[in-house]
Amino acid sequence: MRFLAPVIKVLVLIYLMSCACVSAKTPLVFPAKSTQKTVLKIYGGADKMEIAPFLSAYQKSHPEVQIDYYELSTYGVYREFLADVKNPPDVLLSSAMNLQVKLVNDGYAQPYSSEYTNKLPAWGKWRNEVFGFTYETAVIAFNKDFLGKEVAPSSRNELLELIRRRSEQIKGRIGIYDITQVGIGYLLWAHDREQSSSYGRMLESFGYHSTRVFRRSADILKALSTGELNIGYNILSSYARTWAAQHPNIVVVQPKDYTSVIMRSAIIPKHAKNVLEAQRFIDYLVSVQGQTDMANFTNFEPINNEVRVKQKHLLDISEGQLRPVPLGIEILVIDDQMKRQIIIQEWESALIEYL
Amino acid sequence: MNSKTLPSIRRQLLTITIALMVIITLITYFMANNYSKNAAKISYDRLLASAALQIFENTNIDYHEVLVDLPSATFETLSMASNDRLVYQITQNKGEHLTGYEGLYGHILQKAGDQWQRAEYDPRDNLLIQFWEGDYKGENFRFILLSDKLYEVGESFDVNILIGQTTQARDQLAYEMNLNVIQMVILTFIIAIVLILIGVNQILRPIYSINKKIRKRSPTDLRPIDMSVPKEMADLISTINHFISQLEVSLNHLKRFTGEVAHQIRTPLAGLKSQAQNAIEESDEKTRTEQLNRVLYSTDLLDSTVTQLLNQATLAHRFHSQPLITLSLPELVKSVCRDVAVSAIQRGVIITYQGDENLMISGDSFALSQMLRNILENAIKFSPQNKEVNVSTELHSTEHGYIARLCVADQGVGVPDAQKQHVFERFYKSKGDPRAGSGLGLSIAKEVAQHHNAAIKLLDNTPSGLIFEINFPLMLTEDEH
Repeated sequence: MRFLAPVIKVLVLIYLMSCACVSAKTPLVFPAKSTQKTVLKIYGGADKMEIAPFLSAYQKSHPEVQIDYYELSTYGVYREFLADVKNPPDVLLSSAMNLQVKLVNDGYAQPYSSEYTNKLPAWGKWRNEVFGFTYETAVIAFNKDFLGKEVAPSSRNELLELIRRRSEQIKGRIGIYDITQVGIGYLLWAHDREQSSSYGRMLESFGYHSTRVFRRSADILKALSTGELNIGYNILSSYARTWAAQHPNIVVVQPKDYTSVIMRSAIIPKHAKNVLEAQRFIDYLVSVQGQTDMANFTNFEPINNEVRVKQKHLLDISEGQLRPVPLGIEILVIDDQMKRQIIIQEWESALIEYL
Repeated sequence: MNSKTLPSIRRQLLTITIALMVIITLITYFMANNYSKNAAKISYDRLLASAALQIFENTNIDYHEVLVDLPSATFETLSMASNDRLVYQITQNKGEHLTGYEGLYGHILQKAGDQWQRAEYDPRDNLLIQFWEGDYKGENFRFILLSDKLYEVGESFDVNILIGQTTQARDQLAYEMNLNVIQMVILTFIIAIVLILIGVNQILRPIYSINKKIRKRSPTDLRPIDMSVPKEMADLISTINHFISQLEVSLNHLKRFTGEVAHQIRTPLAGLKSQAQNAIEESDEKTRTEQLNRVLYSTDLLDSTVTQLLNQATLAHRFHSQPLITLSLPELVKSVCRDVAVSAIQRGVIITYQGDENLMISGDSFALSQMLRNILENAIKFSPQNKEVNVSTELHSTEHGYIARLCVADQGVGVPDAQKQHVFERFYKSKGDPRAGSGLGLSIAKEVAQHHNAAIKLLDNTPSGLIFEINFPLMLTEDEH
């Protein structure tokens, strides 16, 4: 057995190294553009490639700042932060509203208000501790080939009517997020459950038509573009529009009965080291300049009305009803363990048997 | 003048009323503060209670397990306190976690101990709703704990619903209500102060006008003040008027007195002058000697009159400046008797004294000696040769208590009853009385007696003569203590 020892040693070493790689997250470092530097540490739920141009734009006006961006999953942002509360980043960016609200509600955030944050709409912030800086809508995407000459349904009722009418073509060809795995998917589904009178019929209809569940937006959109899926429900608008721009056979519809809105939001943790820099970053995030940069360099939807009008984004807010997922204690209901259990059970018992 | 000027009435009135206003304002403020806190507490407690009840309505037994389906409306209701944080936990039986913030129930139960307060209203029987307010993780939270039982065939579960919310919104509500109250109170306060200022000025106006009226008067104008004043000041005015009339009487008195004095002095002077002239012209040695003796006699008389006048002035001054002291009446009487005894014997009159020891009265010894001396000299003067003047002091009991009685009795001709009342008048001399006297001695004696609150009386002696009886209020002797 003695000869095994070096092998085990190597294995242990490899294991330790891999651990080190996983736990000691490696940030994406944006070095300061001038000599005098201060470090802004951000935990973000957004894709590096997505947010990098925006962070670079920030450095143009703040050249002395070095940004260490840690890309994490939305749940990762929450978990990594709680793992070491006394040694937090300066800013938490996340689209998991329920988790952000929970952090604020549990007293982990510090308040900040400035002329910039005061301009946010009432639904765009809570307690001056969490600030929404971009929002996304949940849209319905269709395969154009499937629709043919038909006009895309513009509301949930029309969607259900279409499904019922063309039931045979639709079996196994609806795609939604796996709410047991995708946080946003759960949030939007639970929000639908509270908002929609058609929720029950939808659940039944989706179940009957062997709806497929996915863990990534891209997978749904890819399947839509290849014709593997005909309908994608509650897809985040930013991804849907990017794909639609590249794949003309994808049609994006924003339901007119109501449109769910989720926000990416920012928090300054209570024990943040570089509070001043974090506050300047928050100001930038919600300022006209920051929002314009965001609109120009990312596919994030600016929350600021003025910017939206200037940029002529795809979203027309006058069309349909925006129903933001609330940034406040109402969201605690959605986040409740037992509620989650009830919703997921309901969802699974309707869908899983057809999988 | 040694009297200090007291603080002005206006200032006193203002100080008192403003102090009163401040106290009332403070009391009102504290009551209002209490009230608004309570009102805010009740309304937000109701919100919490309705939330807990809603949750309970949505708690059911499902396949032998308690299932809580949180109603979203509940949290929407609670989010009316838009900036308040919320924590909750729902447990079953002895605190086993169902949903919410795990560990909260046990933590708060332990922290609150027995400080839970039962809700003042019970929406339903058998339902226990309790409140507790305290610190949770560095912020003030209001907790509600609803406990009830759920029944299903053959089984039952205790359900505990614990909700805690920070108190920002209720504090804000209380603060706003309070602010309204403070504004009201300040407004009331200002109005009251203005009214008080006006009122005090109104009240004090008569005082100023009286002052002005008196100040404008000439010193010789002794007419009474005639003006309409409030009831409380009418007394003051009538006192001032009384004082003015007294002053007038005194002035008239003084005028008369001065006239009399001038007259009394001038008459002997005129006599002196004519006697002296007569003596110059008189060639007969014997007659001239007689005339000169008369001049001497008149001079003596004048001298004694002036002395008495001076005495009277001295006494008047003493009465104003000397306080009365405790003294022994017998000691004083004996000392005066000894002083006049020699001159009495020269006139063939014997003075006897008999009296209780230790009669203490309060008095001015100089003035009392003067009084007694005048009475004694008067008695000696009117005593026939070889008669006695009996002086006595004694403790005397009356219906009002004990008094010290001083009696001087002579055996002269006495005074007819009709003349007794005039004996004490100034410059009074009994008609046809040839003996020298100023006519002032007895009037001085009476003044002194009055100053000592002593009653002076004239009584007839038997078989003839006069008794002066003077009754002093008694100071208790040492023994009687």
